[in-house]
Amino acid sequence: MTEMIIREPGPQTTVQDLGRFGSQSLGVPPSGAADPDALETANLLVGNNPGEACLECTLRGPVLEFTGPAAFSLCGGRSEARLNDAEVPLWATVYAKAGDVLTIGPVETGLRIYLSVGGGLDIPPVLGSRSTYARAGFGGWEGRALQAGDRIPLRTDPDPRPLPAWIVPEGERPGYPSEIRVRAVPSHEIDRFRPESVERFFRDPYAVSPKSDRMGCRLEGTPLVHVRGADIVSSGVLTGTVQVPGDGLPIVLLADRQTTGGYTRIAHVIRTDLPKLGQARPGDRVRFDRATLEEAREAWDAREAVLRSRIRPRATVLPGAAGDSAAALQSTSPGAPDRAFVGPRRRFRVVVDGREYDVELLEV
Amino acid sequence: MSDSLTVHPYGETALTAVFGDGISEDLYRRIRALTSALEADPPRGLSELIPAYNSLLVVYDPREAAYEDLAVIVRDRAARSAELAPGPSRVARIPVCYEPPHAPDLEDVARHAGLSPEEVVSIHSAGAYLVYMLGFTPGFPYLGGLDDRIAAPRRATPRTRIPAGSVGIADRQTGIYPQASPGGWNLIGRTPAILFDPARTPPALLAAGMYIRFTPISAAEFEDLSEAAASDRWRPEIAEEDRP
Repeated sequence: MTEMIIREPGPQTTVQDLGRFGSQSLGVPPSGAADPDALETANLLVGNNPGEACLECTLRGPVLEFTGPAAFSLCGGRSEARLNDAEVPLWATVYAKAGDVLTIGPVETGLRIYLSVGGGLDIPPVLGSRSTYARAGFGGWEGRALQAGDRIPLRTDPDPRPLPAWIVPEGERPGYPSEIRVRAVPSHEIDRFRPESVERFFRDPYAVSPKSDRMGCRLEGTPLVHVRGADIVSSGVLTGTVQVPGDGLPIVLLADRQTTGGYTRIAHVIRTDLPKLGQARPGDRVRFDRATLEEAREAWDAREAVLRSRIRPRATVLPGAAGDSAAALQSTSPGAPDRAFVGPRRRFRVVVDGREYDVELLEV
Repeated sequence: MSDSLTVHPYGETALTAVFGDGISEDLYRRIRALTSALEADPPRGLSELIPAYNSLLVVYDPREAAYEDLAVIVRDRAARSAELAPGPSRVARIPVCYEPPHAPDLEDVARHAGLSPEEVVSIHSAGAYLVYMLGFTPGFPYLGGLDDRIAAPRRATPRTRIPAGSVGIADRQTGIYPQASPGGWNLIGRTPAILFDPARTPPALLAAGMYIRFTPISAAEFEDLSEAAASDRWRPEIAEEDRP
C-alpha cells in the first residue's frame, strides 16, 4: 500500500474534508477545511470526489515522502513546493514516483494550503467524516495534527493508467489579498445592537486578531455596542455566524466552532465568502458588505460552476512515459513560466489537446 | 401556544424557530415536540436540527428548499405538535465521586452557600436534572434543575485543564465535562462514566429530554468503575420513569 511518510509535519497539518454534519445536536462541531474552495479544487485536479479528505497545512507545509506513485495537487496560499529538487506548480496535477520527497514551504499569501492525493487518504471516517477535531481528539489521523514519523495510507491506484492533467491558470487563482470584503446577511438579533453600531459593522474595516484559530476569526476594531447586553440564552450557531461578546469585538465562527453559543449575533457571513476568512492572516483587514438572502443563495448557486470553470485540461501523460513527470507537466503547460530543469536527459510522450508529442528534456 | 413562536432566517442555510425568552420545561417540551415532528417526516432539503433552550435551528440546503416554504412548514408543524403530552422519561444514573482529589472546589461552593460540604453533596445528588440540550463540546449536557441553594459564581481564574468527567457548578447551572478542557466551573466531583465516544452508536451517552440523577460513590468505587468503563464492561444505568 502506498503511504505518505511525514518527515517534518509543519506547525499545524491536519486531515480535513468538507466536515462532519448530522451530529451537531450532540455537540459535535462540523470541523472540515477552513477553505473548502481550495480543498475542492485540489480534489478535482486529481480526479477525486470534491469532498475527499486532504491535508490542510497552516502557515507552512510538511516534508513528506511518497512510498509509491501518486497524483497530487496543492491548492491554497502561495508557497514554494519542491518534489525532490524540482519546483512543482501549485493549482495543477502533479505526479510523484516511489521515493519522491515533497517539501511544502512557508505559505506566503493566505494562511493555508491543501494537499490532495489521487484516490484520497485511506483512513476511516468518524461520524461520517475524515476531518480532524483535535479538541476532542477524534477524526482525521488519530484525532490530532500530524507528527514526524506518521505514515498516512493512500488509496492510490497501484496500476497507473493514462492520467489526465489539469491546471488552474495563474490569473484565475485566488490572490488572498490582505484586504478582503465578505458579504453577510443581517441576523434576526440585529436590533440588539445600537443602530450606529450596525452601521459601523457594515462600513468600517476590522483587523484579524492573532488570537484567531480554526474555531473563529476574531476581529479587532471599534467595539460594537449592545442594546440589552451581550449574553443570550444559548442556542445553535453556524459556521459564518458573527457573534459579538461583551467586549463588542465580533468573532466570525469557523469550522471548529462550538455548536451552540450564548452571545448576540449581528450577522451571518454567506457560505460562498467563508474561504476568504479561512485564509485570512493576523493583521489582514476585513470589511462586511450587507447581503440579502437572495444574493447569498445566488452566490452559492454560482459557486460550483465558478470552481469548475477555472480548471483547464493541460496534458495527458501516457503509460510508459518515464522520468520526472512533474517537470513533464510544466513543460507541456502553455503559458507556464520558463524554468531551468535540473537532472539528467529525459524523454516523454505527451498529449496536448489530442495531439501526441515526443519531448526530450535536457538539463540546463 | 404557538402564538409566541417566531421564525427568522439564520443566514441562507438555516432558519431559527424561537419559542420565547428564557429557560423552562414548557418551552423545552414545545421544542422537543417540533423536533420530533420534523424528524418523523423531514421536509425536503432539511439537513440538520439543533435544538436549544428556547429555539430550534433548522439547517437546510438552499438548493433544495426555500426559506419561505420551510418557514410555513415549521410554523404548521409547531402548531400541530404543540399539544403533545409529555410521556415517561429516560433517567440516567450518573455515579459521582464527591471526594478528594475529584472535588477541589466543593469547600468553596459550601462556603458560598453557607452549608457544609456534606449538605452540598446531598442537595446536588437529590435532584433530577433535565438535559435541555447537548452543545458546546461533544456530549456536553446543558442541565436544568439545580437547587438555588448551591448555585455559585464561576471561578475568577479559569483552569487550563479540567479532567474528563468533572462535575461542576457555574451560577445556576450544573454540568459534566465530557472531554478534558479548560473551564471556569467550580468542580464538586467527578464521574467515571464516559459521556462521549465517537466509536459508539449513539456516540453520546445522554440526549436532550433525558433526566440525570447523580449517585455519590467513594474514591475506590470511582477507580473501579473508571477501569470498567474504559474497557466498556460498565456503562451508567438508564431506566424509564414516569415523573422524574
